[in-house]
Amino acid sequence: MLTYYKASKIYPHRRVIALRNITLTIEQGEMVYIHGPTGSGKTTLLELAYRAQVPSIGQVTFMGKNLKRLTPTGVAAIRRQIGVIFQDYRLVPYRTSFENASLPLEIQGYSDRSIKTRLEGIFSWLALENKRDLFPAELSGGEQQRVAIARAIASEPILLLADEPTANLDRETADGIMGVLNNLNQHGMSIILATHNEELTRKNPGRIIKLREGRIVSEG
Amino acid sequence: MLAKDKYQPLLIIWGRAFKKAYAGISRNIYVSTASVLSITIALTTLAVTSGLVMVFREAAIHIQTQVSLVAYLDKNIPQETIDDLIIIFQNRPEVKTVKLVTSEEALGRLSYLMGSNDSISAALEENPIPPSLEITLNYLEDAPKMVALFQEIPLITSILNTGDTINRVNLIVSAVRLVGTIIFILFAIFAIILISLTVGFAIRGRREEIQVMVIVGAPTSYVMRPFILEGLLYGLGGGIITLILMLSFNPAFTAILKNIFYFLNPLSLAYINNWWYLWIFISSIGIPIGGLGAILATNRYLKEE
Repeated sequence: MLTYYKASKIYPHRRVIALRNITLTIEQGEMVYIHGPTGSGKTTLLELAYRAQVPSIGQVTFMGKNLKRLTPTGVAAIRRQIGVIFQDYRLVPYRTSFENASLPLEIQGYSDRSIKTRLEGIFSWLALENKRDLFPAELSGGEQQRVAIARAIASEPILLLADEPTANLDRETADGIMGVLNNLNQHGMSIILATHNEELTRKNPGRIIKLREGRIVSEG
Repeated sequence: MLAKDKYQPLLIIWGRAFKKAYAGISRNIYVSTASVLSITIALTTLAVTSGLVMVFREAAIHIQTQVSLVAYLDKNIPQETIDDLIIIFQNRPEVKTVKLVTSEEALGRLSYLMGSNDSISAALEENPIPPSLEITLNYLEDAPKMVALFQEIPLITSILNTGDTINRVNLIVSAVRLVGTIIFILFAIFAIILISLTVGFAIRGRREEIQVMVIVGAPTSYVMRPFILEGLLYGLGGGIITLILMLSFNPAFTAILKNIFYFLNPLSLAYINNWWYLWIFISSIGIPIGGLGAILATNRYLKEE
């Protein structure tokens, strides 16, 4: 489904080589942890997957398409098949949690009624029923992250990218979030989760890929 | 899989874009009003200028077609000599028409212009106006040559070159057009800049939302659509206000012009009564002006990103 082939990423302005010669394949339905310390290239690896970055050398393909060669319309189409969640949630402060989660569906032209039907199920599953009219500032960190998950899965993507989704959360809330992600994976969604937390990778099932200074140092 | 709606998603997307555009306008109501007003001023200037230029041009053409030169003849010149002069002038290649205006006809015209038929002729013992030849030329540029020719004929006492008047009218037409165009361009540029800034504020205000939209797969067209619509709505607003202004002041405007150009054939000014076509056309120019301002703002934002 997602393949990195000899992919390297160099940031010339910062004179940094973020990724070096990465060759990696993620299959449909896999749960993959990208583990490594800060600056090891985890975020860049995820950014290459949803084409926020393009590899300086090598290539990244998603569903057989070389992401580097996509037109802007093609990039948008690919992103609609990939859900992304971030450490800082990236919720729009002046939209309620329901409005935040509805963004991907609005973009695809779903009616308000369809969006409501779809999101009510997701909000109920994520225990956010009573939070739908609250703004991000009125939510706890765990609730904000669950809203971010709701947004990421609203349009039923085939791949979910999670960049340090539990880094800002206490252990109990983090476990709750991991429970949600594991559940999604059990329902067939492929997930790539970047984390610096080794305990998290040990406690949860999935393939672990260790990154150090932009290189894959172990895989299994 | 999530089922798509039966009806057009595009319709829903455009509907949402309109809502966001409206929200953008109402969020910065003062700057939005200034944008609309600047377009209104630009379009009103263009409308008034166009009207003036059209009527002035009509006047210039009218004067030119009526008469180019008037040669005043000696009062005692016999009719046969006048007939000879007419034949001589008519045979000149530069001349289009020659018309004799007798002393009586000239006095009659004067009385008509003064608004009285009897009082002037009754007050005068003798008609002081000499007969004249009204000559139209094929080309106005030949006027100096013909004036020089008339000056060599002793029977012609004086010459009136209406070419000077036409040139003066043409000069006024050019000046009105130039000043009007400059004002229009200045205000149009001002409007474009103002709209670009207003839309720019709206884009910056929604930067976080735009960034998220791009991540979740919004195409550039989707992201920029509400902002372009916002600009177009400013243009439409300015256009509508201009149209209302011009339609409201049209009776007064045309009455003033008809008063100034009373000498023109009413038929040649008949189009004035249907000027609303012109006002609609000029008002519609507001929409591309608004669109251009918005496009500049969105392009600048895309470059920044």
